Amino acid sequence: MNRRLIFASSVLLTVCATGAWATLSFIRTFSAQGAIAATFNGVSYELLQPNYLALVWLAPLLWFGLRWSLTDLPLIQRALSWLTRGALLSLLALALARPFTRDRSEAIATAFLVDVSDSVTDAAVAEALTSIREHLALAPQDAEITLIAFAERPALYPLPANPKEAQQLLPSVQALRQPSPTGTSVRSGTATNIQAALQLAYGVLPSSKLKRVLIYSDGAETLGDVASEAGRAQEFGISVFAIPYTVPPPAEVAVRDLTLPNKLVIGETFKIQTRIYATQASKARLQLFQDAGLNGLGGTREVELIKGENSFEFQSVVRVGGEVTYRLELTPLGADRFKENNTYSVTVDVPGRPMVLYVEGQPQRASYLANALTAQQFDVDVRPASAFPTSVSELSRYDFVVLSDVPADQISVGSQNAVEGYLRDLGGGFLFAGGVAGYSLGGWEQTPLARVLPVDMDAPQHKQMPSVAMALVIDRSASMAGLPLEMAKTACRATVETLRDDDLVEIIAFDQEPTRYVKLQPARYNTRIQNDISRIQHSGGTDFFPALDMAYQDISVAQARKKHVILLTDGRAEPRGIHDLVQAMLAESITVTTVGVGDDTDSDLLRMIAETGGGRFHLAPDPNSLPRIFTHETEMLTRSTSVQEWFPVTQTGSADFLRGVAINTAPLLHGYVATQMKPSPAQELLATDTGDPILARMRVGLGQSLAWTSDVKNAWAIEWLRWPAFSTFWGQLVREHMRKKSHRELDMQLSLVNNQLTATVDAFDDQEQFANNLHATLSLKSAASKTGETKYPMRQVAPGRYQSVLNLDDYGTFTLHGEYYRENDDGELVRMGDSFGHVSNPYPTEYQTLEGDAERLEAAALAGGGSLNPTAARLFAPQGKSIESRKYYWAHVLMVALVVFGLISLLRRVRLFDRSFQ
Amino acid sequence: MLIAQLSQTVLPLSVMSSDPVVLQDATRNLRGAHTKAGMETGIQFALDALAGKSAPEILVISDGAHDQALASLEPLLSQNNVQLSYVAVSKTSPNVAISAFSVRRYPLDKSRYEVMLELTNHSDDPQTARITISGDGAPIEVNPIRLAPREILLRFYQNLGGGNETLEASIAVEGNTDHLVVDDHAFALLPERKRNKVLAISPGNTYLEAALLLDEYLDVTLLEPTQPIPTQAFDVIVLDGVDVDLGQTHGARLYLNPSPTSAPLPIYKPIADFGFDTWNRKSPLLAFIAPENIQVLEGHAFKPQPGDQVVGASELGPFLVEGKRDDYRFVALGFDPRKSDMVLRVAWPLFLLNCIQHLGQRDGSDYSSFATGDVWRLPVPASANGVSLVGPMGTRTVHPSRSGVLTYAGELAGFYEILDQDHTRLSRFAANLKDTAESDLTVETQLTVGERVSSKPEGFQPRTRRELWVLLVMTALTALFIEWFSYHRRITV
Repeated sequence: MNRRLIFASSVLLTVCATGAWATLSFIRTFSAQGAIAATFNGVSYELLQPNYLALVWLAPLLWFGLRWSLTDLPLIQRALSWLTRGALLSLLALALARPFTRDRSEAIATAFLVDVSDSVTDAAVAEALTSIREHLALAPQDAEITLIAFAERPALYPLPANPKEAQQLLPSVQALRQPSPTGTSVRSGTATNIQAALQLAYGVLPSSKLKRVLIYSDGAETLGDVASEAGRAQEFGISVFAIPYTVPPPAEVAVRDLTLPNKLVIGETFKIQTRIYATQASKARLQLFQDAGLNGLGGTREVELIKGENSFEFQSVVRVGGEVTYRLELTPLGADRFKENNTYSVTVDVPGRPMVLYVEGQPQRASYLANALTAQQFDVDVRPASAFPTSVSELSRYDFVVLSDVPADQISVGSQNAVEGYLRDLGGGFLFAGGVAGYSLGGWEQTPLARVLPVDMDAPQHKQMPSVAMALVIDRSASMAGLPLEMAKTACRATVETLRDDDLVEIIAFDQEPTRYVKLQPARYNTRIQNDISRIQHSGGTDFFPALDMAYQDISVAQARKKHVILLTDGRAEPRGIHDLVQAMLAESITVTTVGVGDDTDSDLLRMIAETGGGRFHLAPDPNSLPRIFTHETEMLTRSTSVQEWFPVTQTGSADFLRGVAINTAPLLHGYVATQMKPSPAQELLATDTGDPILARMRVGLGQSLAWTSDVKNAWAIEWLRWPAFSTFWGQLVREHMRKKSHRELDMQLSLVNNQLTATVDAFDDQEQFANNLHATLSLKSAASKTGETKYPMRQVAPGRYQSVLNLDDYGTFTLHGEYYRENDDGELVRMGDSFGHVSNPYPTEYQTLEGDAERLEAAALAGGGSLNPTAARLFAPQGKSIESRKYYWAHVLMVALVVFGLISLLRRVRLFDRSFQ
Repeated sequence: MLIAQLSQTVLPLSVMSSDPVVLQDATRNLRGAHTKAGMETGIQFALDALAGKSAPEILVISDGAHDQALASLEPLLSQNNVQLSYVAVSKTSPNVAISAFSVRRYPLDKSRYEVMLELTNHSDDPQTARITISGDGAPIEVNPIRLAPREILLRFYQNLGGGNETLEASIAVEGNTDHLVVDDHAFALLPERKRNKVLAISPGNTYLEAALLLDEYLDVTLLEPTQPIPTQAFDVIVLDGVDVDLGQTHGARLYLNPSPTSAPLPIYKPIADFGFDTWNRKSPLLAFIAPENIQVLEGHAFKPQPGDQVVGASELGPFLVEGKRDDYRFVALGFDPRKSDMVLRVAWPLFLLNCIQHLGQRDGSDYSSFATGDVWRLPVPASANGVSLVGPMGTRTVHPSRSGVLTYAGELAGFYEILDQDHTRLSRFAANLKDTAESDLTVETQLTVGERVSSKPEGFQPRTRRELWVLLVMTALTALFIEWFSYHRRITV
C-alpha cells in the first residue's frame, strides 16, 4: 500500500470520526435549545432520537470496500452502488432517529363516571344510562368513550371506543351494580368515593385527545374530596362535568342522631333528643333502651314522620354511675330501604356520686349517719373496724373517710399511716368521731392518727377530772372454781389498784343470786376492798340478770361522770330482759363491757350486751389473761376525759359548710370526749358551753382532717338525730372537706370525618398559660367490645394543644378518655388533667346522607373547568382547545430504504454500463 | 404499563400503555410533593387500574416510608392474583428535621403569643444545629442547639410580642449530616389581630369594665344609659341589662341579662339556681371555658326563634343564644353575670372577649398553619366568584369557591396567598409538612402488606423496554455494512 493510499484512508477515517463527533455535538447543543427540526412545505419535521444521525458517517467508510473491490463492475456502476448503499445506511439512520411531525387534535375522549352506591336507586342509574346513551348519539365519530361505575371504589367497564358501538353495548343497571366484569377488587356500595373514580379516569383517558369526565351522582360523597380532585384534574387538562341525579332517593327512614346532655347527674331526669330523617311521610315505632332494658321514663313510642327531618324527645334518668349506653331502635311502619340506619347508640360516662367510707365501732348504730349522708347524695360504704383499709390505694377509692368510736387497738398502725398518706398525698377528707371508744377512751394517744387530728387528747390539767364509778360483776358459779375464779379475783384487785382514790368501785359476785362483796365505795379503801375480794367463793349455778340489775341500781345513783360495768362469766344465762336492761343502763350513760371465760361462754349474748351497752366484748379462753383485760378496761376508763352531760353547742369559727345551718337551733349533745385544740393551723369550729372543742379541723398536706369529739349515733348525739338540719350539717361538712380533684377536666373536641376521628384538647395551667410538655394519652373504648380499651398517644401540635388522629374502622359507640401528666422536679409523672368524650359511628355515612348534594357537584364542575348538566354539544365540543399529537415517519423511511435496497440488488445483478464482457 | 405518582394521594401520569415514549413522558412529569406517601391509596388505585388485566403486577418504587396499615389490601391482592413488587430507592442517610412549628396567641393577652418548635434528630449520632426564627423575614431568635441521637426536642418561645405577621423557622446543621432540605424550614402565620371598636352601655359594672380593660386591642367607649349614644358604627355593642334606643348606631350586639323589651328574642320564663347542663362544645363563645363549673343564682330562659342557635342551656331552658336579626348579629346571655360565680372565675373575661371577637368577625382561629397533603378548606368571601391562589413557588391558579369556602389539596410547604379578581390579597396562610416519618431517611428494604413481604424482583433493572424494530434496523444496518465489504472482496462469492 503506497503512502498516498494510507494518507487518503487516514483522512477519510478522520473526517468520518470528526463528522460523527460534530453531529453529536450539534445535536446536543440544539436539543438543549429545543427540538431538532426542519421545515418542508410548511410542515415542521422533528427527530425524537437525533443521535442516531451520527450513523450517517458510516457511509463514507464504504469507500474502503470500493477501493479494494474485486468485482468486475464498471467504475461508474461501482460508484453508483456505493452511493445507493450510502443512501440506504443514511435512511436506516434516519429511521432510527425517528422523524415525526406535530399535529393538533380536537378529538374528545370522555369518561362517564356513574355513581352506583347504595344511596342511589336503580331508577337513578337507569337515568344515567339513558343520559349517556343520548350523549353518545350526538358524539362525534372520533370521540373515545370510557365507562366507570363507582361506589367505594371505581371499576372500569370495557366498551368499544367508538361512540356508536358503545351506545349499543352499554351495560344494564344490574350489570353496573355488580362488581366489575373485569375482575376488580371488592367494591362496596356502603360509600361514595368520587375522587377515586376521577383518579382512575386519569389513567384510562388517552393523552392524544382532549379529556373530559362526566360524573353522574347524587353528590352525597362519603370518602375523598371531589372538589379538590376536580381542581387537580383541570391542572392536568381534564375538564370535569357533572349531572346530578334527579330521581328522588329511595323511601327511607334513618335515625340521624341521638343527643344527650353534656353533663349527666345521677338521679336527675334529663332529655334525650333524636333526629330522624324520612324521605317521605311515614310512621315508625321508636324504642329507647338504657343498656339492656327499655328506658324507664318512656321507652316506646309510635310517631308520625314528615318528609325531611323530625325531632323527638325522651326523658330518662340514670341511677347508677359509670358507662351507660342508650340505644334507639326504629321500626319502620312504612317503606324503608336500609335497615342499617335504624339503630343509633350513644355511650356516656356518668360520674358516680362522692364515695364516703364510714367505719363504725358499733356497726348496728351506723344507720343514722349513713342515712343522713345518703340523703345528701353520697354513696356510703359502712364497714366494721376489722375491714378498715390497710393501704393508701384502697383508701383512694373514697372521697371522705369517717372513723367513729373505734378503739385504737382495732386499727393497725399500717392503716393509720395509710390515713395519713391519704390526707397528705391524695388530699382526702377524714373525720374522727368520738364515743366511748373515741380519742383517749379508745387509747388513741400517741398513735400515728393522733398526729393528724386538730385536737390534742391529753386532758387539760386545769379542768375538773371526771370521777369513775365502776361495778365489777363476777361469776362465782361452781364452774368457775379453781384458776378462773382466782384469776377473776386477781383481776378485781388489779382494777382497784388502777383506779384513782376518788373513783368508786363496787364488786358483785353471782351464782343464781347476786351478792354485794364490795359496796360502792372510793377506791382509796384499797386494803378493805382487797380483803372483801378474798372472801369470794365459788358455788351454785349462773344467772347474771339479777347481778347486772343490782349493779345498775347501785351505780345509777352514784355521783360520777363515768359509769361502767364489767360483767365476767363462763356460762350461759337466760337472755330474757337483758337487752332492755342494758338499754336502760345506756340511757343513763352506764356502759357495759363483757368478758367471757372458757369455751362454754354464750359469746353471742355477751357480744350483744357489750354492743348494746356501748362497751367491748372480750373472750378469754385462758383465765390468765383476765387481769390484763380488766386493767386495760380500767385504764381506758380512768385515763379518758369523757364528759357525759347535756350541753349546748356554740359556733366558734366560720366555715362555708356552716352557712345555712343554724347551729343555735341544734339540740343538746349528751356527751363528748374532752380534748384541747392544737395550735394553728388547727381551727375550732364548734365548742361546748364550757369551751371544749366539739368540732375542729386542720389541713394536713393536701387534705383536711376533722375531729368531732362527741359521737354520731343514738348515744351522745341522740337528740341531734331528730334535728331537721342533721342531714344537711353532715352533708355539707363532708362535701366541703372531701377530696377535691387535684386535676382538671379539659374540654375535648371531637371530629369524625370519613371514619377518621380527630381528638383535640387544649390544656392550660393554673395561670391560664398554655400547658406544654404534657404526657398525653387517649383511650378509646368501644361499648360493644369486650376487649377493653385501646390507647393512643396524643401529640402536641401547638402550644397547649394536643391531638390524636385515628381511624375508626368499626361502627358503634365509643367513649374516649384523655389523661394528661406533667413531669415534676423529681422526674415523676403527676396527673394534671383528664378529658372525656364520646362519639358515635353508628353505620356507614352512605346510609345517613340520603339527600343529594348538587351543590357539591356544581363546585366540582366549576373547579374542574366544566359545568353542571352539560349538553352533548357542550361535552364533545373542543371549545377552542386542541391537543398536540405526534405523527411518526420511521416506518415510511424504512419503506423507502427497502426500495433503495431493491435498487442496490439491481445494480449488482444488472450491468448497466460497459455491457461488453471483459 | 401505567405510571402513577404517589404522594399523599395518587396521580396517574400516563394511561395504560406499552409505548415507551408515553411512559418516558410520564416519568418526565414526576414532581416532588411535601407530603407523606399514601401507600394504601396508591396500591388501591393500582388494583382498580389493573382490574381485568392479564398478569397484573404492581411495582412500588419508594424508600418505603409510610404510616399506613396495609393489611386490608392483602386479600384484594390475592383475590386478583396481583403480584406486588417493591424496589427500594435512595439510601439511608442522617437527617435533622423541624417536625412541628406553630404559634398561638394567649387567650387572655392576645397581644402576645407563644411559638412551639419541635426538632427531630433522625440519626444515630448527636447533631449540632443552629435554629433561626424569623418574623416577617428578620431574625428574632437565633439559638445553637445540640441534639442527642434520635432525640425529639420540643422548644417553646414564650411571651413573644410585636407585629410580626409571618414566622419562619429554619435550622442549619453542622457537617454534612442533614440530607433533606425541605424539612429544615417551617412556616407559620400569626393569627391576625385587628382593633375592635366596642361600645359598652352599662349603669355601672366593675366586672364588665375590668374585663374590657384586659384586652388592649379593644377600643372601648363606656356609656351610662342616660348619656347620648354616638351615631358612629361599632364592631360590638355591649348592652349590660339596659334598655336603650340605639337609633342609627350600628354594630353586633352582646346582651347581658336583657329585659323583655330590649331582648332580641322572647323571654320564656324566669329561672333560678341553674348552670350549664348542655352547651355547644364547638361554639367559639365558650372556648377555653369550663361551663359546667358555673353556677347562677337567677336569670331567665329564652325562647329561641327559627335560625337562632342555643349555645348554653340548663334543664330549665336555654339562656345563652346566638342569632341574627335584620341588620345585626347578637349574643344574648340570660342572666346578670354578677348573680353568678362566673365573674369570680377566669371564665368571665374569656367569655366576654370570645363574644367580642366572635361578633366582631375577627379571625379567632388559633391554627397558624395547614398541613400538606390535607384538603384545605380556606375561607374566602362568600361573594367572591373565583379567587386565585398563589403558592410558595409563585404559581398562581384560579379556583372557584363554594359557600365561602375554597377547597384545595396543597402539597407544598410555605406561605400561600389568596387574591381576589383584582389581585388584592384577601388572606394569607402557611402550610407545613404533615408527616414527620417522611423526614426519617431510613430506607425500608421490604414492603409488608399483611403477611405478604415484597422486595425487589429478581433481575430487576430500572430501564425502559426497547422496541424490537429498533434492534432489527440496527442489525440490518450492521449486516449491510459487513456485506458491503464481503461482496467487494469476494469473500462470500
